[in-house]
Amino acid sequence: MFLLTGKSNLLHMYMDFEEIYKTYWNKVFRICMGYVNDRDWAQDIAQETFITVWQQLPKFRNESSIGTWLFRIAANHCLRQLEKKKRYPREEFPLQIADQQETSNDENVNLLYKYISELPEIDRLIISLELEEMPQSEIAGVLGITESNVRVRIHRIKEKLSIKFATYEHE
Amino acid sequence: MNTNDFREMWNKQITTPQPSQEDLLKTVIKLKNKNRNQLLLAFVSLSLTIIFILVIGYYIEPTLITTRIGIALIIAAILFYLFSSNSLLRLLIKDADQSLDVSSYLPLLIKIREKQLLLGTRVMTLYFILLAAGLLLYMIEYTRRMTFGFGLLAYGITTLWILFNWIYLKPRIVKKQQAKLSEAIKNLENLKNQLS
Repeated sequence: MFLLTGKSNLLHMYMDFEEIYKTYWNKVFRICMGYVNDRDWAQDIAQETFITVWQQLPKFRNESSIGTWLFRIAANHCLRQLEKKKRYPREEFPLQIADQQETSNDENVNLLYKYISELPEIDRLIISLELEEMPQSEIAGVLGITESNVRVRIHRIKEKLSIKFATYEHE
Repeated sequence: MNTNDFREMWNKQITTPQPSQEDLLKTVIKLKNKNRNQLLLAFVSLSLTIIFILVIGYYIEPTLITTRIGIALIIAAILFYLFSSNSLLRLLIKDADQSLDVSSYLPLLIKIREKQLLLGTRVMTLYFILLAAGLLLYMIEYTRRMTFGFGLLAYGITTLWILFNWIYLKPRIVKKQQAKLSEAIKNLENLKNQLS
């Protein structure tokens, strides 16, 4: 009997995870990309994030929305990158398909990600979450700062980015 | 440029295809096994060290209790040294919960790193004290059989060696161990400051 419940729980978890994984992969990848502006590295962080999500999923208690919870994990994984100058050896992670894929973003897209990755670390996360259309109250929830603080910072960051683009066009 | 321009560009980023769920979960298992193997390896090397020294203790058949105490202290010193490796400390100290919000996560991570730093330093100090004490006790039985002059020489050389360890080697080892952790703490503090 116990075995049965155990199994069906695991199955549920597997299915829940599948849905989360599908829904959030691109978003998490873009956030990591904004943080490091390096495709391989961003992919590694995204994978680490989902590994943690899988491990922590049984502990998720709906106290926050799944998005807030997941982006907290992603944000913390990004911030921990400065502890690991040495990155994981690539073979520890599955999938090398990405290497063969063409990455022909248009120039402005590349510039945007480059400029974001040059911001202070916390600002990178704030603007990435904002561009993912996360409500400001949830961004505040991910970072543990006030909503008004988030609003002010988003405004400043956008100004900074606009200036960078403007200077680039003038050159 | 306005928000919508940024957002449009942001979403144009070509994302990498996601690895299959099975591959991802295989990685989870691999990492789990790696942690388990590390613990197992530490346990095996500790056990082997103890057995090795016990065997030596058994075969030399010491007559004085100081020799046995000396051996015990040296074993303890080696255990402490093995435990002082950072990777092992990392396994022993629970990692910070990554689903916390960033403002709670960073201070917790800093606290954990500081704990590792303190533990590492203390363990190294204990290692050198135990090793020195163990060695000096162990020598008593054998130097008693020597002439006074040779005994003095043996103790003199050992004391010099211990002093060299304490004054030169220990600070270097501790500093090297701490460098990485100290830098990590400094970087994390810098991140924490960005939040206020």
